[in-house]
Amino acid sequence: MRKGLASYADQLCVLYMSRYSTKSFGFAALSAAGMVLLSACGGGGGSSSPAPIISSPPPPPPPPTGGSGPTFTQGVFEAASSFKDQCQSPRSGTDIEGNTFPDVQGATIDELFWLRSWTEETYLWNDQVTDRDPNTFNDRITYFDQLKTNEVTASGEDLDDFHFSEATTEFLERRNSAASAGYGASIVAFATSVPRDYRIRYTEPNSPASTVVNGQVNLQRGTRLLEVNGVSIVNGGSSQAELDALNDGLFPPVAGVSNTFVVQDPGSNATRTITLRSEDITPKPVNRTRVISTSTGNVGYVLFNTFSPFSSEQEIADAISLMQQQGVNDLVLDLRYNGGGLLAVAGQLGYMIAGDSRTNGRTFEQLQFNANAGNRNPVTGAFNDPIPFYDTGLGFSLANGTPLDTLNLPRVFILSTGRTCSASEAVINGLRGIDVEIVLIGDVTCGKPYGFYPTDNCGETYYTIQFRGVNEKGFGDYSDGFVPQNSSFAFGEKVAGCVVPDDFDNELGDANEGLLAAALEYRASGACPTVTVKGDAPSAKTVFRSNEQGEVATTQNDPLDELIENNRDMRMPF
Amino acid sequence: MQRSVGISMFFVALGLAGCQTMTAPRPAVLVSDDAASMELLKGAIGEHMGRANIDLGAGDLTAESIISVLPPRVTAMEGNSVAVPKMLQLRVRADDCYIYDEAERRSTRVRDLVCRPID
Repeated sequence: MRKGLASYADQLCVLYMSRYSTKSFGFAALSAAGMVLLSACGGGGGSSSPAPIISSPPPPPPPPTGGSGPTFTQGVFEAASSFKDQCQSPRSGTDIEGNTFPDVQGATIDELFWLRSWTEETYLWNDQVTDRDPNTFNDRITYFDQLKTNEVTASGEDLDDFHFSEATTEFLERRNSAASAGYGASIVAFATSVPRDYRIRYTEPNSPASTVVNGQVNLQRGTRLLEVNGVSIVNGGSSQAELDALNDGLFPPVAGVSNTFVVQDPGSNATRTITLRSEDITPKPVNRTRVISTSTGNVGYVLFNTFSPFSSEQEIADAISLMQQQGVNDLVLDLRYNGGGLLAVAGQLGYMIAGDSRTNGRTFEQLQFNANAGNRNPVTGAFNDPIPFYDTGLGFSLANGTPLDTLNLPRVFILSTGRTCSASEAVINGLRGIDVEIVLIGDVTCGKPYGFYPTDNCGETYYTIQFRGVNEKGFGDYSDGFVPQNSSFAFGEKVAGCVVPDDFDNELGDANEGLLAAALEYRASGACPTVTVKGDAPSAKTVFRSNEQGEVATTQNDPLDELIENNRDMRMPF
Repeated sequence: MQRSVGISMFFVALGLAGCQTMTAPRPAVLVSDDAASMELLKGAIGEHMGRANIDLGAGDLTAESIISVLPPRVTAMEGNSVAVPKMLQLRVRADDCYIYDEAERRSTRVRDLVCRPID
């Protein structure tokens, strides 16, 4: 991924460069940049309502280099299609999906003119892009990097934090990657330098991590990883051999590898030794469900971790059906680690929560494109139909037309952190649009109402923001996230609810777990619990956006944390 | 007069004959969803959509005529993805199977695939 990397990512890249191959570095840089993007997504932000402030213009472009090619006329754009696939270095053959490359011989200038016209046609803020002569550039990435708005939000954050590109080979590899080797544990890093603190965020069901051995689950939420194969995770890594041992142990490159860990469970001073054998792991979208009996009826709990895989459609429908069968009269939807995915499944989920009468004929999300697009989607050319609250299966993993069950609820409790992004936020926004009450428990959400269609040209896949999603009421201005009502965070969109630190001392779905317990208390009393932060617990290191000053890495938005989460086959710097 | 009536009757007869041979396409289902049939079907869909790799979504094509064609997988970067399956319909005309694309009003014949009109 190529972007003007933030300093943190640059530091990571340097670390990788010193140790690993070019390929590894490329992946590391890609991942790091991506994580910086995600971090920026959830980082401090600006007001959701005041008009953005115009920042200083970027530095002037480099001097003209001459050359021939298409003619530049300020403000006049030929159709992007007239430059598409005309490449300085055309590819031949087929990609890994078997599709024949469309490239023909062209020149860099053709690629630049394509970027210019494509931006004009599809970029959401195309009217805020300075139209610079492509002839004054000689590199497609450099040219692309400046094809974005330079506006900032009221707090000084970039309005567009999602402008990047990557080699198409990398994009396709990621898109087609099957299950990856691991133990089925999501790891969070509270401290990445000595003394390191790596703990378990959650485990996948039916995985090595969640296997019970002699009455003891291998890994539980909050379990601290102390050693792997005799090398200290906390203080080790002083030699290359130790680094390799740590990386290979924590992130096994293949399935079928057994490694021995010393671990320590939350609330315990004792240590345990376990052996984990790596498997190919496919994370489950619905990690777990619970039904909690209360004096005022059953409360459903669903830990929904991703909208991305097609299986998410079937799994969330099954989970809601179960809740319906159990007669729940409230739902706690745990989206704290859900970074989004398929908006269509989000629309289905909205329907299943709110029911038919609240959603019938109403819009879950309407995409807004730039003014040039009119009522068309400028990427697909299709009419810009709204995304409805789908009431049937759509054929991802649930047969098309299958009626969906509903809970018919007037409100929903949503557990959130800074990792609650995109389609997860669309659920919040879509339901608010039809006046379903949202009670937000946890932390400020990521703040990403924007989307794009990754687009290849000449071997580079470009991501440029092309749409914003708005709800039935036309609201979509939550780029600083949804914010629990009692938060002191000055920006974002306030929603009823409570700021509560992520709790690593209790399992997700346990009624005593901090966020779930707060939701239950709020449900019972209508008030937020008094939150006490323990002195040495991991949650003590969780710094909320409401009071962070920017210097302290949070558990929610730490790029390295994301790096660990998503890239287990790369070498981690220690 | 007689001549004109005769000509009219000729065309009526011709039209009726045409109705018998030019059967309209009908929604259809697969006789078998074995691997060979699915490969034939996916190959034709790939040709129809200009994609080399086709994955089908949920649905029993021996009972339903609607075919769910999955979009390319969504990467973690695409937190707001508008991807949805594309719906095609299996149709039969005479003894030939077709896939019909309602959005594009276009059919593609699926050679050697055995299907039957839906009950």
